[in-house]
Amino acid sequence: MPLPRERTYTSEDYWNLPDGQRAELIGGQLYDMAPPNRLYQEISFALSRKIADYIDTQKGQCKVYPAPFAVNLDAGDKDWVEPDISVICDKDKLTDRGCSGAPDWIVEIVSPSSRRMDYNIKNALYSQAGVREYWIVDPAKERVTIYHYEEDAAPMIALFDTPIQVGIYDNLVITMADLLK
Amino acid sequence: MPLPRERTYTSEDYWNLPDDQRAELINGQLYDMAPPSRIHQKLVGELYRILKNHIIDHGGSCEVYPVPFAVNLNADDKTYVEPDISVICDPDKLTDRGCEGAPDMVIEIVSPSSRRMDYATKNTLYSEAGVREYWIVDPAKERVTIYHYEEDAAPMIALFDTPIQVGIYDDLVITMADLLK
Repeated sequence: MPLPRERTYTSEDYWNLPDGQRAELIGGQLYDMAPPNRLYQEISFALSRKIADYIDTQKGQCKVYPAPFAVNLDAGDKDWVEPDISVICDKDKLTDRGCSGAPDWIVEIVSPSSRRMDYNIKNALYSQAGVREYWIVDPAKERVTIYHYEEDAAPMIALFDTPIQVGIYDNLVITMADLLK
Repeated sequence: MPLPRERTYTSEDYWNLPDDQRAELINGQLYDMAPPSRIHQKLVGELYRILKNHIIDHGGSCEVYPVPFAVNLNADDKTYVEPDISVICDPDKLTDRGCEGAPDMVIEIVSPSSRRMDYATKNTLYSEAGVREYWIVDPAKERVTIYHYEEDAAPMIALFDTPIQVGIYDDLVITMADLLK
């Protein structure tokens, strides 16, 4: 939900938020981020670890960053988001502040207050920015909505107990239920 | 895909398009609409017929319109879309030109050139405008992606041979495969 004040916000506002406040800057609006709950953190940590382990094993070039991690999606200082997990394979995009440009793979873990943001707004945003793969992990529905934007704009849906083949990697399969054991 | 010229378009441009050109106006950009295919028109016709029959049989205040039909989505003259099917239950929204405000139900039949528009851009637009139900009918994948925005932001997916319960009507079930017989 956008903050109530009616004005256009800039990256300066985003970077000068009070320490205790987290928000995302999209189309000149600041969207508050609610503090995560336990299950949310458990999924975020387990999934990040699984991806990081895979990259280590394969000696891959990509880097994985869990939130809080600032992504300047358009690389033009306009839209700043904080995806729950960002996988970035182009080292040139990594800066001191975070990522400048679109990550290759983004995972958002849906919380009650972020449902419309994750399913609707960020789908359009990420698809236009050039993100290759987008996962929306929904603990309440125990399912993952998956976009492989390079192939198609249509979503796929997988249940938590189904193995999911990661699109940007040929040989990484993740079953959400296994991560939560 | 936006037209190549770089400028901000207004509703005046939209209403003064040449007779043979169809486009939608979204956030100051005009998006060309490709001529529909045979299967697209067949599905629009059949969906219109089944919804119209339901409305005739059951009475009520809703009306259904097939494309071309101009919807001033937020009633602010900024965004004009032409959904393939619009169901509008508030007679006050109907004008000489089309619809002022969000329809209750929108159906888009995906064509090769409209995939990102239908799955990503319009998902955000319709969800924010207050559309209650949005169907994305995909003849290439033989499936329907369904949003009931009043209940949740997450999509559901149904195959063409599965009966789909319409959200805004308690007693209307549509099986896409039956419409294509």
